[in-house]
Amino acid sequence: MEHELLLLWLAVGGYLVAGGIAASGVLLGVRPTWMVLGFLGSGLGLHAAAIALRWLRLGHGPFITMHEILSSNLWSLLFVFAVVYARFPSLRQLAAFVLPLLFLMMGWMLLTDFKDSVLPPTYDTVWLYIHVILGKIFLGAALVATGAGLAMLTRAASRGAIQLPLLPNDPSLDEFAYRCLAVGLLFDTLMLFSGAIWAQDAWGRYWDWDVLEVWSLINWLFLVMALHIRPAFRPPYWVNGLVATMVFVVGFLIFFGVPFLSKAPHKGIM
Amino acid sequence: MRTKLLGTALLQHLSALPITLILLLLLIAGSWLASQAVLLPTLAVGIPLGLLGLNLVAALVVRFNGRVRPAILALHGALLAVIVLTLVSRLTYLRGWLELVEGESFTGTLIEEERGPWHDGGLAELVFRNEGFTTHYLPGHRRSETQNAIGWPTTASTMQHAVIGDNRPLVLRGYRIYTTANKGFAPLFAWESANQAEVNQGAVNLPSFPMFYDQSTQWTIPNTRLNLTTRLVFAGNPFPVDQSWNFHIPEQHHLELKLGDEVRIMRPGEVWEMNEGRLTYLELKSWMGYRVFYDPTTPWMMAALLVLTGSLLWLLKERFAATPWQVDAQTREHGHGA
Repeated sequence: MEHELLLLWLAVGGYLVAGGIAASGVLLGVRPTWMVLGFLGSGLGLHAAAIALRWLRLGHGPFITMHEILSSNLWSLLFVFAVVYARFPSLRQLAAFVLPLLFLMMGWMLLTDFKDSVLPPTYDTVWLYIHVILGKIFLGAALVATGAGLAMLTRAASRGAIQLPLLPNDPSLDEFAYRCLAVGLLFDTLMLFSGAIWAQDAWGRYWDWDVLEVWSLINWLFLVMALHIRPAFRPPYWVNGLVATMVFVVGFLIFFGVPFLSKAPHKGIM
Repeated sequence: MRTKLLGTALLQHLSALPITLILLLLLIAGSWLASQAVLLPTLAVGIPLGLLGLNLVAALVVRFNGRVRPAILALHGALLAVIVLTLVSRLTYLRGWLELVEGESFTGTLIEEERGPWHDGGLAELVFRNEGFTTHYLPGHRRSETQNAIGWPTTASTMQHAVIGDNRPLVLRGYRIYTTANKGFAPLFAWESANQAEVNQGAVNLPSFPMFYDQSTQWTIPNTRLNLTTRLVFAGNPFPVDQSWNFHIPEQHHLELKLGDEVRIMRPGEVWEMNEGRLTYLELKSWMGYRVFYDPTTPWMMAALLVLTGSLLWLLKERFAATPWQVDAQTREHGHGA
């Protein structure tokens, strides 16, 4: 267990350095370098090793405790962003927004109880893995959209003082964020779908209005609304940026808050 | 002509995107109200869902003029199918629960149920038997795997058998039967009334174990006023909290039966002679709680959702492949549409 914690702390260290370099790059007007990806990638590797060690020790994946869920989601969010960072050179400066946003999540993770967990029998199904992976991709897409949204909000809020010249213009960021949300909708839909299949055989019904299911539906409806706001009202870019950010915030609060407040069967730690 | 124009205008208004957004907000509110049990889901969700269906139909009618992308049509058509199927599901579903002692057969009556008004009552023809189960527990009384042997008749003289458990239901005549964590012990008694007019045999289901470690319950001997408190007492510690164990019938045990001020200890085979009759404790059995679920729309719902996600993927591919996301500000003018 000590090795797992050590690897985790080293990983967080890598993420903090990556985030620091990215943020100072924006402040100094310096084009992001491969150093950010290097530290991010190293952190991901160390983090993956920590998760793998715990998985091997406990005999099941990170699905139960708050620590496990935060850790695995932090890894997947950063992995998705790392892919975007590598694939889209013109968007690399978004790291200055995305990585510091996740610092809060890292701090929270390190403060949670590292206790061992037991996998409930209803979690012993392939649908758990499918449901969780789809959910992680959705949240990752929403995070990337949030990065673009925060950049547009920063430009608008600074009234031109902060131009972020190394990032694409607002119309391009807006379109990119929109596409990320659309991809997010696809995976969110599949996540709900696979969750219903899992719930059917785990608890004998595919939908029961339990708190997590309802808030997941609300999250999906909110995402659908967000995608319809643009064609309906053609709002300013910063409004779209705000909406994109809200999609991530709502999704984050639902996936990390509700399971640990609800006493319903689908609370994730039964 | 005027009517036709009015109708078109009405449809145009009904299909407006701002209306969609308002109805989505209503659906969000309705979902929350349903989850808080402030309103019945059928009302809280059904009304905005129905209105969204109208909004969707209006949009499909108004915009189906050859210019709309087929992918959008397929996507929203699938969405409409999901809405309709949800409605049909609420009309035809059944959900309930029952308990069966080992060796007992289900004969069509649930302990509790809720059903849609159009559920056809095929439950009466559903027959299956609990042939015994085991549940594994980890230290800390944490429930692990359940294995329940089940039998059901396939013809008048043949039975089929299977083992069901977590994530593995029995599916019979469209009904899905699931084991649950709700299970326990059931002492089996025989009662012979004093005038020997009736001889009954029956089991008394004690509270769910190990959720309720105090295994006691009150019950009344049928057709009498004899109200007994029955407690199951284990010898030793057959289910230690700090070790793994399998749910089983402990050989060393006894019952404490209390009738008024009188307390009697009974072991299997022992008899309690009363004025009203003779009570015999036969043996200790187990009972399993089952959930029953029926919804004929499930495969159709799955098909509709597959079409929905497939068409969404198709739409994204069409829409995103057509234009690059990165443009210069001057050429970015009309691209906010879906």
